[in-house]
Amino acid sequence: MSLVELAVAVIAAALALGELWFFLGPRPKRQRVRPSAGVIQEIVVTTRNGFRPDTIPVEAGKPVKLLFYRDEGTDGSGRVVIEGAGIDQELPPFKITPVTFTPKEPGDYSFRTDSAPLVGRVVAQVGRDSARSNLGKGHAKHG
Amino acid sequence: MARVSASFPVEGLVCGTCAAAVQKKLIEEPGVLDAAVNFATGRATVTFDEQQVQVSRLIKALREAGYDSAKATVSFEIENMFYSTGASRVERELAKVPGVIRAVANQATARVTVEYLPGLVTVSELEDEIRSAGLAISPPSSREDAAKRRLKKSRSTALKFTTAAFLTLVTLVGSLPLAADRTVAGLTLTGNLGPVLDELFRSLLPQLYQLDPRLLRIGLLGLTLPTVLWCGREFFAHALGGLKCRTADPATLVAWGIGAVFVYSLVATVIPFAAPELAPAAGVYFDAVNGAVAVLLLGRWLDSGSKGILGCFLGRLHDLLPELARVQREGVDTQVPVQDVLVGDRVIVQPGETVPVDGVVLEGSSTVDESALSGVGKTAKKEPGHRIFAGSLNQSGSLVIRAEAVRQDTVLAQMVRLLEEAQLGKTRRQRLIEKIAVFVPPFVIAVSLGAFAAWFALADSAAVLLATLALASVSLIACPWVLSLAAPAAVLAGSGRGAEYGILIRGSETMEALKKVDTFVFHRTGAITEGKPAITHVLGAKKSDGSVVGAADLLRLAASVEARSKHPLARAVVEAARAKGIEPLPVERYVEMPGRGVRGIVGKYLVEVISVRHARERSLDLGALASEADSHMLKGRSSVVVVVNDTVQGLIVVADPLKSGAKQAIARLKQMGYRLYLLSGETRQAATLAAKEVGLEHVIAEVAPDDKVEEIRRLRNEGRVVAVVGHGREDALSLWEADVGFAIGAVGEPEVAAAQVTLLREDLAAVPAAMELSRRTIAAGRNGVLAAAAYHLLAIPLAAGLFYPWSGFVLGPVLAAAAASLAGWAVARMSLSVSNFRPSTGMS
Repeated sequence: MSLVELAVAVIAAALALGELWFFLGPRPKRQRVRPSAGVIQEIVVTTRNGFRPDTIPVEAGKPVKLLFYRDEGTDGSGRVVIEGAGIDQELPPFKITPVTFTPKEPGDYSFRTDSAPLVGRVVAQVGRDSARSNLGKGHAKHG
Repeated sequence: MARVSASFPVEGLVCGTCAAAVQKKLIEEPGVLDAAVNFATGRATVTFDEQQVQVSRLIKALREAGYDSAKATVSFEIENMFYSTGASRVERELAKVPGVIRAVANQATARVTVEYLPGLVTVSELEDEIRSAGLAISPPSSREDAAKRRLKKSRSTALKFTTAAFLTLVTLVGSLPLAADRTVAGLTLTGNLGPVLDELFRSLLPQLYQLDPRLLRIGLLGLTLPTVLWCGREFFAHALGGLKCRTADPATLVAWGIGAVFVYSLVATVIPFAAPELAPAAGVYFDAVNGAVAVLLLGRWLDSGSKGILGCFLGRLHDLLPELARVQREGVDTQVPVQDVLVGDRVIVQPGETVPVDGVVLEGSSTVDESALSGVGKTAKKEPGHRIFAGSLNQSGSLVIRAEAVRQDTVLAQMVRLLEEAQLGKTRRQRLIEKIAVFVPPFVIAVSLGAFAAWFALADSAAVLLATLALASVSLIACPWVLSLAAPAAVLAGSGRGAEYGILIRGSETMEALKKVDTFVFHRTGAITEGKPAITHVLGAKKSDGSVVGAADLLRLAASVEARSKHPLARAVVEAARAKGIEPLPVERYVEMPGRGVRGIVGKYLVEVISVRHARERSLDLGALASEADSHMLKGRSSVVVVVNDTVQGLIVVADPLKSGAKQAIARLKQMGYRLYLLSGETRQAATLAAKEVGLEHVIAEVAPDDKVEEIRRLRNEGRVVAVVGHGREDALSLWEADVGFAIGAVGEPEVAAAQVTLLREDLAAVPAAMELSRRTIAAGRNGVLAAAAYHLLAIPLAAGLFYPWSGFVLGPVLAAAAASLAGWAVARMSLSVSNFRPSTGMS
């Protein structure tokens, strides 16, 4: 084997190892900056023969941004009205329309289309953190 | 009363008993009229009086019980998730985001679905995370626009392929005068065509051979640039996106392989101008670059036709619902958008129209085609009182329907949701294959470098060229995406095919679980019988004065207490009474005694309707009725005893005929090697007779409803993998407890309709058909994976030139890319062959 061939073999081996390390090796932890974390509660609501989801659990006291996506072009679901929040918003077809409000107190906040009987509700709760820490205890209770 | 219903997720459900506990907790809340918690879907559906209770109160109750309902779900359509590496990468990255509960990326449906806690992460942050993993999110659009976009994409791929193919031919011909420089031409399979073509084109295009070779190379480079910069741009762009995230996928291999040949040819083109003394006549292989891109585009074009089988089926279901409905309001017929129809509206459906809501026929009679819901092509007669479902096609007469479920609450909408949710699961094996597939591209690149070094060292002449060709061939021949796509593609095809037969299977986890089933447990009522019991005899007991209790009195008393029960037998008693013009009397202190019967106070009397077994346990004097009960039992009929103030007043005999085809279906399951049980609350003798009639071998009898779950648990503890076939709400608990629950004839039973397997048709033949389908699906997926693995084990050494010493040729990049495209297409077809499945039980 000539010197050139040896050099090529060594470089190829080094490249292969480097390539394996690059693709499969350990990675540095990425810093995730979340300016909105803990503030806005965003949920996508699809309007097509009804709201989906039609029941939206959220935390009371924090702003809620409902991203309405009207997946139909027929009449009857052209606007959304959120009772008690003073919101009456147009929903253009096949577009996402954000609607933001803050459910200050725990309870149900209904929303509906303007003329049609499509109804959904934002369900505001308190105490999510303790509920999350209790998750699984239901199963433990019944064994 | 403002009666409304709501459906919300329930988190923390670990087993069927959890679902039952939550359901009980919800029903106990004041104002709740009904509640159903589905373990399989992890959702609660509650009907309640809005004036008495709010959903926030119900969720609070859930939390107090140790469960929660806080998660939201969002789904993104991805434009460029062609490979499982993309799916694994995005799942991995999303899982690290605080607030994300679960992320599932499905390569076959090109969707990423994320369950998350609102407030901890926003939808836009999830989108950013997906984009930073190198994936592009499709903008939301109507289905028509999405279809147009797909068509546009397919046409664009076809145009790029045509362009690359044309440029391949042109550059191949253009390279002929340079054949003398292509020292390797005789070694490659494609290169062997050279002398033949050379002879032909030398006479056809003599001017071509008089061109300056250096200018010819420049011309060939110019003809290859459109292929690299436009036709094959997506491979390079995708590979670059992967590099940013330190991920290699098949696009990386393509870019690496084609890039190597292109760079080699580029250097060979430029050097004669820059430094003529260094490389007087190195060959160029621009035709190989064009050819490789062309065949890869052809493969992708063919592949685009293989996907979307379930998507097509879901689209068909979506399209079943009409946009307009004709309703009668205040005596006037008006056409309104279907979402304007209210529960309770009178809806008119003319012949040829599709039923827009679920409801009950009030007026008219007609035949309707329910094939969309049941998978059965035949029509059903509909008359006043019959239930009718959205999506059915009215064929003959005009019907007036009272709407009972509209929009998202219809069975059709539930079916669509079920099939969509079914695509979220991945089996452990699938995840393992996806993990392995992630390692394949980096290893192939390493092997290609090894092949480069080996050829460089061992070749006698043209070492750099041969080494480059080996590197390119190894990179282009690998198609690791088929490894990870084979199984999910088979599941997609299997789910879609099953749905066409009215068999809804909840995704790959259920498919795999079905394969492991070795035992079937059948409930009797509704599962192996029609589930529509009818009263055959009403026998009064002899009074002390020698007279006999009248049949009408007996029916009135029985119907009064049974009117509160939802049991099919109770409904039969009430219907029989009403048919004779007997109205039930008011009842107080009504109590259900599971497995034994019901009781209540009617007027001054304590009236009980109980099983013969329970009457015997209590040593009640049945007199001559005892032998009557036994004699009817031998004929396959059940009896209930009517007791007033602890005195037997008579016997009501009920017959529930076997489902047609039940015997054949059981015989087929037996033939397939399953152990078959009948689970019944009846006496051992009655249950054994019933089992014998249908051909079931084993009987678990005299089991109270609450203990049925225990029996399923016992069988599972014995090491059996148990499938339970049941019908209706009464069987829901044991369906949850089973390894796989089959809900049969579940149209209109939403709480059962989401068992792992839902059989929309009443035909028991659907059970062996589901088993055959799952076996075929798993086999197709497994064969696809094995074929893909075998292909790589053979193809990579071949491309590396390992067989050169014996065969005398190397594969070359064009043939390597062609082999990869062909293999990918063949494996995909192998997986999708399930879509031709036909059950052996002769279902239509």
